[in-house]
Amino acid sequence: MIDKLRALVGEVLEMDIPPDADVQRASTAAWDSLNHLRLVMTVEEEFGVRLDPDQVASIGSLSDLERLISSQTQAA
Amino acid sequence: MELDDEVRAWTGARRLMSTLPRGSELRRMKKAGGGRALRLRCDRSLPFEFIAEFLDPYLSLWGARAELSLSDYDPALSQLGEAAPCDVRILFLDWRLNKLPPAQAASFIRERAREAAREAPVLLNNWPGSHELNERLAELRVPGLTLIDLHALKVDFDPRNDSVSNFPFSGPAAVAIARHLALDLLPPLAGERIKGVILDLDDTLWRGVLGEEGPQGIVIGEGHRALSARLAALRKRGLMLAICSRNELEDVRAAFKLRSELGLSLDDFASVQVSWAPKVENIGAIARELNVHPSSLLFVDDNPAELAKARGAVEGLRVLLADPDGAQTAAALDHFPGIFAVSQDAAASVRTADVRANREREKLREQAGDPRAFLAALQMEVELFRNCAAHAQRIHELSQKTNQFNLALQRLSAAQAAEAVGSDQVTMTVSLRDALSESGLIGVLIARVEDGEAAVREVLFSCRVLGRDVETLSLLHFCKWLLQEGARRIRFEVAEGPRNHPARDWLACLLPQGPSGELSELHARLEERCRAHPATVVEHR
Repeated sequence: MIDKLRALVGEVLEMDIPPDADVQRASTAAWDSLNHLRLVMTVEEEFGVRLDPDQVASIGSLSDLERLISSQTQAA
Repeated sequence: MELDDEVRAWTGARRLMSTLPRGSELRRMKKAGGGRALRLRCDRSLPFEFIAEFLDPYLSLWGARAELSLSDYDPALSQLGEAAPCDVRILFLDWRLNKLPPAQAASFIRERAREAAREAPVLLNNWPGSHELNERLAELRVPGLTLIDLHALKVDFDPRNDSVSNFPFSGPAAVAIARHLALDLLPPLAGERIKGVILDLDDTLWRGVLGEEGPQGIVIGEGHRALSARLAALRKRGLMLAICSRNELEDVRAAFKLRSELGLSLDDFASVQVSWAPKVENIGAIARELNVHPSSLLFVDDNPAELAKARGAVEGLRVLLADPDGAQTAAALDHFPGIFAVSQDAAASVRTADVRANREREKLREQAGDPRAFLAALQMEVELFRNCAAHAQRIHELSQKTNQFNLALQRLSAAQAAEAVGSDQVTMTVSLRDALSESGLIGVLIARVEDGEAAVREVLFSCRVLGRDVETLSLLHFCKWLLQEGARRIRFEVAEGPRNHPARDWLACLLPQGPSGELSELHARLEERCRAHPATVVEHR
């Protein structure tokens, strides 16, 4: 799952993400508010999940996104 | 390109037109690049970026790509006058921010859209569920303004997206809006127009091989009925239909007669080419019969090899790979670039019958022998209208669509066409009927008279009516009007385009020394040439 997520984040942010690397929103210029919603809509489509506004606001890194998707897919 | 690659491309194109893919799929496709740049300017109070990122995969289906410039977020649209020139202006508004009552909101946007439309065609969104506002926007009648009908698109609201990024629509809605813009609205505004659809029959309009299974053996399923219904709707809207099939004509006649569930009759087709000749030859015959350039024709066939041959042999021909069950073909036709009508086609109701009547006219011409006897047999009635405001939309249409008899290739926008019927120009619109059919409004001549000189900025006639000297007869009366306006000299604007040599040759015959001269001399020459023209002419001034 993480590999697919890394690829999707890389596509949206138009950057290469090395394996095992995390990506921090605060230190990534391409991760602006528009791309933040793009990321959310993309992972929702690809993983069949739905994030609420608080969850969307809490995402500060690739690993945050991974945790959220994992918890939702496991709950399902 | 290898045939396998072409099949992949055609199948992919059909899927993009007929279904809505995920955004991530489109995002992966958008890197293709290249193509004709379409300069889009978006003045907005909503994020347009979520839609813009999906435009290029769709635009690339007709060889275009977007060059987008965005205004700041501004419900007052105060940057409207500041942007660099563009091909199309998009006004993308969050109508929830506009607190005016619908009538005043419409009035607010009318003035801004009118101003913007002087420079380029304008697209303006309405709002899902806002019935009264949408009615007001639909009634705006600003020349050059077209609505992005978000209500009709049935786009979903997404309150989460709205709270996160002020984008009130869902991800799939963004894709649907992008497809609507890039495949439906932008192609006609950029001059991409399909005038006729050429249909294969076996495994396209029905499943099975008519020659082997017979009229009762072919399968007409739900998808085929949907396809027929789409085609019938297109015909009603003014597109011409044609058949190009390797079959026996008697079998085809029987199929249309016996299988009424098709919902189409052979009379619905302006041209029927059923033979064992190569399809490329039949497509050429159809283009000649419809009198349109092949780049305005869409060829629909289930056989990739036939599509490849046709593309290779017929310059500019558009193609759509049919699916044998019809459903995907039907859905793709809805969004094939150049099919969508941004305005009502004034000649829609007469076109197919008029083209079919041309066959009868050719027979008459052969029987008559003498050209004058042929024209007399047609019993033509020509009506000439002066500066008729009701014809502005048709002037715009003809200016955009006419290629062969289009002297100056002005490609008048809707706003320019509306100005042409204003009081400072002499604008003639020409309608024609004869014993065989009604041709509708088929010609336009526009001039401005200043300091004794008439500058003719456009002369254009529908190719449906060429060969009957209506253009010459109309010019005779136009010159008379210009003389009455005090003009002594006449000068024609002429543009050299790839296909307008019929118009240029016509003028060169009338004015061999060049595109200007003494008006009275030209008038005398035209009188001499039209002396025996048997048409009845009625002027409406």
